[in-house]
Amino acid sequence: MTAPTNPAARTSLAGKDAPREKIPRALTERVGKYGLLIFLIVAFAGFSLARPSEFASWQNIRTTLDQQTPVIIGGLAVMIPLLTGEIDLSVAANISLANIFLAGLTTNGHFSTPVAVILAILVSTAVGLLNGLIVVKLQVTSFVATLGMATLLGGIGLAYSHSTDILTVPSSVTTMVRYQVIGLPLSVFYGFAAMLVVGLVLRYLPVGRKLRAVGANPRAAALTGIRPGLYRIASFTFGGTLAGIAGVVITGQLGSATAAGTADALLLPIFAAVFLGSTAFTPGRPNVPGLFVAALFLAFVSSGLVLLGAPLWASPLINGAALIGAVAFSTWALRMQARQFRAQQLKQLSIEDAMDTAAASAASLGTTGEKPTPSA
Amino acid sequence: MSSYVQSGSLADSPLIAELAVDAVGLRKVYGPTVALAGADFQVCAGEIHGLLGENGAGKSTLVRLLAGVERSDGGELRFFGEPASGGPAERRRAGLAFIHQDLGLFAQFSVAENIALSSGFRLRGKFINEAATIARARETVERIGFDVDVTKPVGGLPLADQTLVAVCRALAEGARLIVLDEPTAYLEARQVRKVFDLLAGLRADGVACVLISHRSEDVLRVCDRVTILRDGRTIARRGARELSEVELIRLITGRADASDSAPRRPPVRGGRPVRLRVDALRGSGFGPVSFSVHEGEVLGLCGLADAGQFAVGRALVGDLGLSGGGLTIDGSDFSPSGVRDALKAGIGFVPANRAADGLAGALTAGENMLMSPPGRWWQPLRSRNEEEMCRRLLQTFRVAPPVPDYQVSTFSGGNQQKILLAKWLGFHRRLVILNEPSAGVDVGAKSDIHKQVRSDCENNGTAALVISTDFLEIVDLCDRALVMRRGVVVGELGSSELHPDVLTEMAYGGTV
Repeated sequence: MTAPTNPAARTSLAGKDAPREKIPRALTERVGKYGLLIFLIVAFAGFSLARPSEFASWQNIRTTLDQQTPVIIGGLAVMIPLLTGEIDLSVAANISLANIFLAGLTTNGHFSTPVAVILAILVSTAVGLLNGLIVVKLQVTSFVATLGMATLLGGIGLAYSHSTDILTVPSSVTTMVRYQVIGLPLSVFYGFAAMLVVGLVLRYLPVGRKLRAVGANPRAAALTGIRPGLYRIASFTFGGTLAGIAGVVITGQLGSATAAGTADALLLPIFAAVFLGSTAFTPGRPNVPGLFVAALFLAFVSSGLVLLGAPLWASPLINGAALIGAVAFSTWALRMQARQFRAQQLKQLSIEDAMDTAAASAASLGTTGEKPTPSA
Repeated sequence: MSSYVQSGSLADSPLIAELAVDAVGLRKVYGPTVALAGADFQVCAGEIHGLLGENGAGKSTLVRLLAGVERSDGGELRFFGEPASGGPAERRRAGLAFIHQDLGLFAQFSVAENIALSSGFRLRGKFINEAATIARARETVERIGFDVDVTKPVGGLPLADQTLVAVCRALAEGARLIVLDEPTAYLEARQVRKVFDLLAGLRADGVACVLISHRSEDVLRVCDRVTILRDGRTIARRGARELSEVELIRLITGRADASDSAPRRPPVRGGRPVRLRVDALRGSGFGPVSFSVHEGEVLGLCGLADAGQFAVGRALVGDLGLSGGGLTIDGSDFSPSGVRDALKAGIGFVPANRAADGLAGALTAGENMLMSPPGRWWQPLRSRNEEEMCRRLLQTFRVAPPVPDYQVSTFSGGNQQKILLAKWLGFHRRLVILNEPSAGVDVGAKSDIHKQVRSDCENNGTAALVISTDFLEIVDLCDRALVMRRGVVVGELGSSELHPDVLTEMAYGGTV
């Protein structure tokens, strides 16, 4: 059923092809890998030139880093289940829940700040665990499960706060986040710590690879001894923990909590950053550096355009377009890769065919006693 | 053409003149492969016609040409006297229906709805007339004497009845020729009889029926005539009544006497300890099955696609439940409750379908080979060591290019298969279960794979269980082979008796 091929000829052919294809491949790969970073630099440089006094300042960078911390930690919370092929749409609602709980516990519940922080993070962790159990045990697709969970959490937040906003949290909560070390608020350090831990674990510990294996082919993973269900539940749970941390950070930043969901509007920026970030560094895979660069890029573009006089609605427009554009670009890149690969295989097949016919004609010439000509 | 005259049932038929299918000298070439090299195929209206041949004989290509999915590279094709034209849609309108193993029914919809979805709902004004639609479906099922509640969802029916629903759907569309591809592969004997009894009723309606099946005794029982393909040519057309089962199998395999085969390989079992002992193992789709695999031995477990050998393999690694029997590994009892237990006991399982079950295309070759890295969870991956190890393995298996960093999906099919095997053979396991180890790879890759499996067994003492439907591969690769048929082992062949024809005969149920 298959082409009669000479394995020795094939490997030598592949060897010959390799250096020739190396140059364009390396170039396109580099553009794909570092494109987003280049965009970030270009955007920052461009806005700095246009508005040097406001944009190109330490103040601007510090504010942006501080403001993007909940988006980045929330992005990490989304990224982990996403690696196993599951989506968590309840992340923003979970951040809001931690926010209202922390504010409520410290203001009305008379808990000490450290205990309240731990309780709030535990509640968010429990929400993540519940998400995982619903998806794995009840076999509800994560899209539906977490969409429902998001609304449900909003209701719990309203019930807990009796629909009243908490306008001032104790200063111990805000200090924990706003206190400045070497010119940066602590929130930024929390963000970097979260990125460092998640990034290193995903990159260097076996668990990162197993999560990706579950996402890429759960059946193959299961036959390799990985329990896909367990990894899915664990990833939702840890995502919940991170959402709780993001909730603590946002409470300290704002010093308040809204009954209707403080962080609900972060859902889109978070997903835009995760998906845009997955086009960079390791294209096609959500990754921590990509998330960081994407979050900064989107923030700079939004704030830069506002500085240039663009109306306020520019920001959601950019986030929405980035989300769709990033996903469209990823699938397009995959299609192009597949097409390139197919063309390459067809070329190799036709080369083999030509070699076979050449060999056959040489053989037939040989039997008739004529000398095979080199041009054959 | 002489076979027409010989065929008893046709002589009785008044429709002898009308040929539902008349194909002469059909050719089809895929790249360097000649799939059909001038096949003739004639089916009369009102007959049940068997189409037989080994894997790769050209049956499926012929069906694709009949269905209009592909165009022939030569030859003539007529349906009911008209030259064939157009694609699948035109052929369907011309009264051709094709029923594949995947029946293409909507499980949640009722029988009546399934029938109406392709032949049209009865309408009252612009709306569906439920009662009339049901009445029409009832009419259709009664036409072949099929007793079924047409308001029931199709998904709840037994598989045989689902097949019959597919037949009824074709009839409701006005089909005059129905091609059934392996309709009974997954049916029990009683259900098979039901399907065939009702198909026989189509004769009176003048509907022609082409039956593609591996089960020779079924074919002989229900068909009026059979056409046998081999190597893309029509080898024989015979009346079913004049054929015995043994004759039929000889025609399919194409060799006069199968048992005179040359010894290939000296037996390797001498004095080696038993690695895996399987004792009266029973599970869904097979049993009782008993055998043992020795250290360093390559044992083949083969049969037709539905013989149950794949279920045995899955049961051995705990992927399918067992209902009875015992297992021992190196003398100690072993009862796998899941794949993890089997892995701990040192059993590797190479699935047959590499894309669905074996490899994660989006991960790199190295990540696939070390998907579940050894060591405790807190121990970091040693990427340098790992890459070195993977690169060496890829080189050993002659994967081109041997780069562990490339995504699996960018390798060719043969190389992907080698990566899959390297993943399981490369890490010194006690027993590897290889399902179709060289499915869909070219000749060169196949011989590389066989060489690696054999060298792993000979040098490291690994025991290998090769589960396959490819009898040539079993002969090439194995020291010993067991043949399964309908869930039980029907024969064992030592190295001196291994021959593809013998295996084929045993698998089909012929006598050697």
